[in-house]
Amino acid sequence: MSRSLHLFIPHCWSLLALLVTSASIAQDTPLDALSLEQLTNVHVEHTTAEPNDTQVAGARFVLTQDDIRRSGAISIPQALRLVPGLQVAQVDDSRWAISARGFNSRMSNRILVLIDGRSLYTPLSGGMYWNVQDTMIEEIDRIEVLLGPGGATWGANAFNGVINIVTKRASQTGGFVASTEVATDASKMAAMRLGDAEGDFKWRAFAKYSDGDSNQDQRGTTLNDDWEQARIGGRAQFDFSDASSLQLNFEAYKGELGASAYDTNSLVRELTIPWPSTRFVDIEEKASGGFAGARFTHDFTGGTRLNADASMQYWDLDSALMDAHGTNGELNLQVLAPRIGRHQIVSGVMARASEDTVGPGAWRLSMPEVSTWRASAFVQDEVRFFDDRLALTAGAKLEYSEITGSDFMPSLRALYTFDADSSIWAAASRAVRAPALTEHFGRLGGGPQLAPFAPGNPTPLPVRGELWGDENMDTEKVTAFELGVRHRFTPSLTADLALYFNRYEGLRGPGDVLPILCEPSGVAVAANPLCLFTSTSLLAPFELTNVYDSDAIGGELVVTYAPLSNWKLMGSYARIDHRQQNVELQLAGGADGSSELGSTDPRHQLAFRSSLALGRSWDLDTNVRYVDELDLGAVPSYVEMDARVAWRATRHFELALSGTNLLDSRHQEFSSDFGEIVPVWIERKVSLQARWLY
Amino acid sequence: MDALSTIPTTRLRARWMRRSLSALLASSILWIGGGLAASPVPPVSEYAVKAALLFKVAKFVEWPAATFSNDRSSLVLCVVGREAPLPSFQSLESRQLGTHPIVVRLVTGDMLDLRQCQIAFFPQSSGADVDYALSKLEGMPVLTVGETTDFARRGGSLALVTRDQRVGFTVNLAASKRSSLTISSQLLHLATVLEERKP
Repeated sequence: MSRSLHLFIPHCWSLLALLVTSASIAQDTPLDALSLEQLTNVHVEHTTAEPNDTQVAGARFVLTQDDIRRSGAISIPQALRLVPGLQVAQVDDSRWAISARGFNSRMSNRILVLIDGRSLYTPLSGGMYWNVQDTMIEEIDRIEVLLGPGGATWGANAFNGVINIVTKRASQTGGFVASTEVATDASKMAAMRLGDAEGDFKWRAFAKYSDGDSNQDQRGTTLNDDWEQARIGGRAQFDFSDASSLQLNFEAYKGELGASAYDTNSLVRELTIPWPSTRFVDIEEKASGGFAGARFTHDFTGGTRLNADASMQYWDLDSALMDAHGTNGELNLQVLAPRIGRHQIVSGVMARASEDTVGPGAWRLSMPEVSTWRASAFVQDEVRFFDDRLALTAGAKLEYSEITGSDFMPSLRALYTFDADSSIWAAASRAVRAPALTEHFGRLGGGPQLAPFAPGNPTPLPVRGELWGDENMDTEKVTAFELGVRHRFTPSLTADLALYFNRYEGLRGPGDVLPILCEPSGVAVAANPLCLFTSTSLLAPFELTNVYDSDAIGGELVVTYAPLSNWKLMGSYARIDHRQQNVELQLAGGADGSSELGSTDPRHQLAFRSSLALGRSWDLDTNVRYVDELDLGAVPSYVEMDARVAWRATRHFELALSGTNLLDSRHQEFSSDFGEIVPVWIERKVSLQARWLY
Repeated sequence: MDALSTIPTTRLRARWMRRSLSALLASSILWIGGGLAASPVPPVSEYAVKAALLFKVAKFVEWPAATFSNDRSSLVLCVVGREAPLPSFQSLESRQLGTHPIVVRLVTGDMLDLRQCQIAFFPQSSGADVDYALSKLEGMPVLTVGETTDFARRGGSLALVTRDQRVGFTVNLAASKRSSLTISSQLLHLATVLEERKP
């Protein structure tokens, strides 16, 4: 024993000595002490290429600030029109319906939208109010869109897709930027930003004002969809060291957003008026809100990164239909471990609490105030095999909601890279959609009424319909199977194909017939028929709950081609086939018993984009899109074109002429899926945009 | 028979144990030592060399006088599209080029932001539309730096190309002239000078 130790100890010393000397050599000869010639002779450790954006096991599309600017978009929904596979439809001048892989709705409730990791989902309505979610378009660095479920990472509501808007860091936005737009329809926009991108304390602040003009209905009647909104926001970034930084964000907005709704009261007075009514009432939505948030990032030695986010949001919406406000707080913790061997692990926890108050109005809740919370944890491991050719990503999220209990959302993704030019991927994943508070406790009135003795109403009292939520409604579930191929035929020609099969369970639809109630007593007619004599009206509640299962099959194909280095073309095709259409719409669209239930999604969508850069000063961009007809509201198919010419007069000034929906003087894109808002024909618009950069 | 066979086995076992023990000791010392040695000394990564090389090369480049508002204003070095090379370049931040302190920034989705930079480094597979960026920087006093000879051919001013584990550099003189950058002839002796092939 002792002998072998004697033999061994000198080895140790020499080993240690070797280590120390090798370390000191590396320390003593920093690279900058070397001459230029010596530097060109240093042996370098080859940097393994990171997987780039195209090498992901999913249908992912990234819009950059360049893409957005060149499209002429001045709001987020306009920019999203460029993403193949998204359904983007303008409902009226300020309202949009946007979905990924189907189920389009003004509430956009089956996709998750985030800005810098902060969820924009509104717990009360379970969706997105696109008209109050905006930012200065120059703030955006890129928009990453994932088509298909992302529940394993993003949690509930990343049901059919995730839209992740990433704004620039404070270190990227020094100086001064101002941009304005005036358009032929008298709409205007002005925005400016100021910032300092240097030093340990970096900041920026912006203000944006938008004023949108009204459009007309089918008959040419001017509607009330004009709107205006003001918004301010800012960011401060403290870099404590190379490893830690703290970012503080805030934003606040205030707006008045008009709409025209069908006058349901006229139905009671005049039986001859068919539904939908031709009489409109003006609605004025007063919206305000904002958020404050902090993000702390720390890089540990060894390569582990910690992201911690905390944010508070407040919103207030006051209209003839609804008077509501809410506060929600969110906490997010994410740990990104460095690659160890084959594995790279990402994990995180999230907690969100919300308190919403809905005042008296046509739309209310069964209780005036609801506080609820949810929490989740996820872990994801990417394992690589065969010289990194095969990447398997397994992940799962467990989410607990106070109302619906726990949901498990696993996902398994595989990517095989043949060479730099081709890859194939497949994925199987499961996600859920959490019902909104209105779906649990909602009492949504304001719909059509049946006059005394009208057809279908044998009573001498008017009958009022109301949509009721179901307190026992569970999450909707989707199981998705996806397959994709990417190939670069030549350096300038690439194609990207994604196919999917989605199985949905427990989708929302009209539930059991609820007993008719006497008003105002609230007694069921069946229980006490005598209440008919003391009532002023009757209430017929319709319940919405998990009713049906369905399948959808579809795909997206994106082809990009660059005939010249300064000229890029992109063509895309998206197709969706629902096996069963939106049953929930039976109620909304079918109140007169005659309108057909139907899909809100175009079966076919084609888009074509040409981006030509003529030297330093000129950009010429054209987008053409074909959108197939929508069943609901019988919205016809259409072809539209946007075009933009930009001239960069000096380094500091850019002028652009931008045209949207150029092919028709006006056209319809959507019919409100809740039936209450009058369909709007969107007008052709030509605008002049100017931008100053210092 | 039994006794004869057991003795060597025990010895063997003891020797085996000793060996494995010493191997364990050695490996743990290696591990600790390796950890000690590895943590303060960054490995000679490709980007560390490229950053050092770019700093040296930039000393031979002269920007037009109007580029800087004054002698003390900073020189902005932008890394395009990818975070991976950023730490290597950030180590230049304590330095000065002439009288100008270096500031390093990451530029991602917006290629027009590059007009605020004096040096723009385009890593390979940055996802950025290099042609678009170069066209928007045409004639501007920005030293565009890439990692492939093809980058210089497409109109970039400088390429830091890794070949046989060594970094060399290629200069596109026509492109740097268009950007009103003056590159010292001293540098050109060491560089591969490229004849541009514009489409």
